[in-house]
Amino acid sequence: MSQVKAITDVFSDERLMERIATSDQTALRALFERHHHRVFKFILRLTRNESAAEDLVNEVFMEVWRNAGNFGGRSSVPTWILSIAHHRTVSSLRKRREESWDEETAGTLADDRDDPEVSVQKQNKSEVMRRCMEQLSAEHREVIDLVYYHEMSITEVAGVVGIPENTVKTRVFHARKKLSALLQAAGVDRGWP
Amino acid sequence: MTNNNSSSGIQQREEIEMLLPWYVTGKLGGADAAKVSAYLAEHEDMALQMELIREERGETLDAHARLASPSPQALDRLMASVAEAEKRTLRWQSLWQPVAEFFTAPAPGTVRWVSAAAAVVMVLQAVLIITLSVHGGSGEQTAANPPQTGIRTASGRDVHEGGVAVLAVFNDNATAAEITRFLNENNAVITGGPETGGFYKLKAGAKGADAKEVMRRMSENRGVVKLVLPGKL
Repeated sequence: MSQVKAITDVFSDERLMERIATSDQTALRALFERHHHRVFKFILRLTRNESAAEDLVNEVFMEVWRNAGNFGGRSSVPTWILSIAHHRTVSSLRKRREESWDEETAGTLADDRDDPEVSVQKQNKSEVMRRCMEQLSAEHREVIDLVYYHEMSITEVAGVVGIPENTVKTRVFHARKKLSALLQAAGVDRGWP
Repeated sequence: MTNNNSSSGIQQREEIEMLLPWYVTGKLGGADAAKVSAYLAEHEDMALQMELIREERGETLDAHARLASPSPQALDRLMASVAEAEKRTLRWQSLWQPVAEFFTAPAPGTVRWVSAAAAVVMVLQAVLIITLSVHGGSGEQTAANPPQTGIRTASGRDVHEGGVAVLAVFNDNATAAEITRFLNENNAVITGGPETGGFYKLKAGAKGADAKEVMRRMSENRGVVKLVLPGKL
């Protein structure tokens, strides 16, 4: 394990990819140690299922192992890995049909656990906000997470999701508007839009 | 004009609003960042937007902090998957390798196998040639187009008009080539046989040649003939 630690400290992501392309398992361990938390959380936020997220993380890094030689360096390694995670997760969700991947129908799920007014009374604003964010469609949650948590640029988000940069901007904009609408319905007026 | 200005103003505001999340996270490119900064300086009401975005970001980070962590066994599981994949690859290679080697680097055993096959082909060719030679092959051979083989028979075009009739018994060990040479040296052709005792009928020597001399000369080649006797014309 100390060898993995040493290699993790010394080598860049790109250098690790070069070594993985030559079937270096130590390099794969190092890359996994460096990125698997982010990948797991990215997938878990979409699947909402820990077991499914664990399976998908394994699939993602197996794909990294098999296709490291094809990594062309056109994007950063984290962007490349998250794009694999995105495609694997979308494919899995479509198969399981546990969650719609359609922007039109998503985000309309009503949280019927409490009446909005009661909800506001019982919970503070932060909790309401969190619940409303959970009600966003998977597509909207994904771009919000990529911008706010993964701190990716417009270009990087476009690379992960596989959409044009202008679509990234409008999708995030609509996600934020939807969040405001959900908060409004829950009794929180943000004054925008 | 006022409407146009108003319309373009809304459009510009929306464009800036779309860029604000990346402005807050510091991930906006230079030109866009400058554009947003200039707009914010002139529109103080946008401060509310900035505040909302910071709030959203804070909640997003908080939501991630509350998420479960991946299993500590995740790495072991990955490495087990890698080991299994490698095993499958090796199995496939072990199946494919002998075939690949056959075409790339023939082993001694392979050479023997190929040599044996080539030898069989050569034997079959030899049998076919001899069969065609002895039995006339395709049936298209005629007196005008005799088989181009060594042994001379009366069916060939060089049938003797005259010559001495003899009976000859060829040595069992004599080869076809030796017999052919023998017939040529003695200007002889086979006219019949073999008959009882292994006798072949031959006509030998030129027209009007001395029979005894012809037979004496033929009898001298004991490596090819065992016995030479006078025959009937």
